[in-house]
Amino acid sequence: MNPTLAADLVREVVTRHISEALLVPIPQITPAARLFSDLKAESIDIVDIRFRIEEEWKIKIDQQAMLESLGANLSAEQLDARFTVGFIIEYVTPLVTAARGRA
Amino acid sequence: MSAALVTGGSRGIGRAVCRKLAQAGVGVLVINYLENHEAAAAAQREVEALGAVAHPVAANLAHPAEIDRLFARVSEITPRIDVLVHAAALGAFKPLSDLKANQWDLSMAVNARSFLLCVQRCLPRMPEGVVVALSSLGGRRALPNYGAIGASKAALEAMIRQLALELAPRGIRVNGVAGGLVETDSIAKFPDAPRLVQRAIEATPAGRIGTPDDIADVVAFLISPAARWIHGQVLVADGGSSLM
Repeated sequence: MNPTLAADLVREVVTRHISEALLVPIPQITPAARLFSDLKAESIDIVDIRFRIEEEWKIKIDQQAMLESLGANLSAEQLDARFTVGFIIEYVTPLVTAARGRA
Repeated sequence: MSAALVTGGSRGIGRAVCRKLAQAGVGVLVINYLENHEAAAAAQREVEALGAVAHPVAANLAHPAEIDRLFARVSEITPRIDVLVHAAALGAFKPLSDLKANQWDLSMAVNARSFLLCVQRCLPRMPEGVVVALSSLGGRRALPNYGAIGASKAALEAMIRQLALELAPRGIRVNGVAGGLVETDSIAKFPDAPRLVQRAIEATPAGRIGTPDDIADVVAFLISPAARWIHGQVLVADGGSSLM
């Protein structure tokens, strides 16, 4: 799949799943939106959003690896600042591209 | 040689159940797990050291399509299932008054709905057999931060009774085990877990919290012929904590 197309598609799907999970209007789910402090997600919500994305694309997301990729030894504030909608889209896009390549 | 499927079988109580089943002579064990491949491999090694053949199968029981995929794999492994143990569980540890719809849905999907779907998919492969689901005291009592999971366990217990009624004529017994606080990874998910454990110990006449083996031994009993006259019951195994 074309990487640009994949990123656009992933952005659309990730935004929809976050909206449906958190009951947040889509316009508020910008790439810069922080999952925890802006969208009021809790840890169980991250699991839920991950499950929805996994099922949508038939992929597996290692949540621990995903969070570790934000950086080592982060404070809660640093984690919150870096864990944005845009980060999730960037993290998921290569997984989707690879899965589509295998299909 | 009998075959069993244990959902949530790679860790905690489910893993202890896998060991007990192998010790009880189950020959083929399908160990369902969510995503921890290392834990599943460790469970497989434990079971195979006890003489059974184990097949770890990853599947997220929150999704019906994945349950279908699990059973497609089960069909490749064994033509029949004699024992189903539902130990998979997941949920939000928070007050019900703050619970969000998606958190409710996730708890119900994994803890209750997946039990029903697994039983339904077992039936064509289970001419007779035993089903045991793991509940908890929160299914019948109010516990702090346990509302979502407690409600899902209450639904689970209702299904145990209904399914027992429906399936007894087919030679299938359906029962459950409700434990108190059990020493598993899940404890850490409770807010203020150390205090919770200390309070549970103080409130338990037996003087400690449960271990996975405490619960797995009850599951093994329910699966055994000694429990042949027990249908649709949820046995409480909690060191007496619910007495007070």
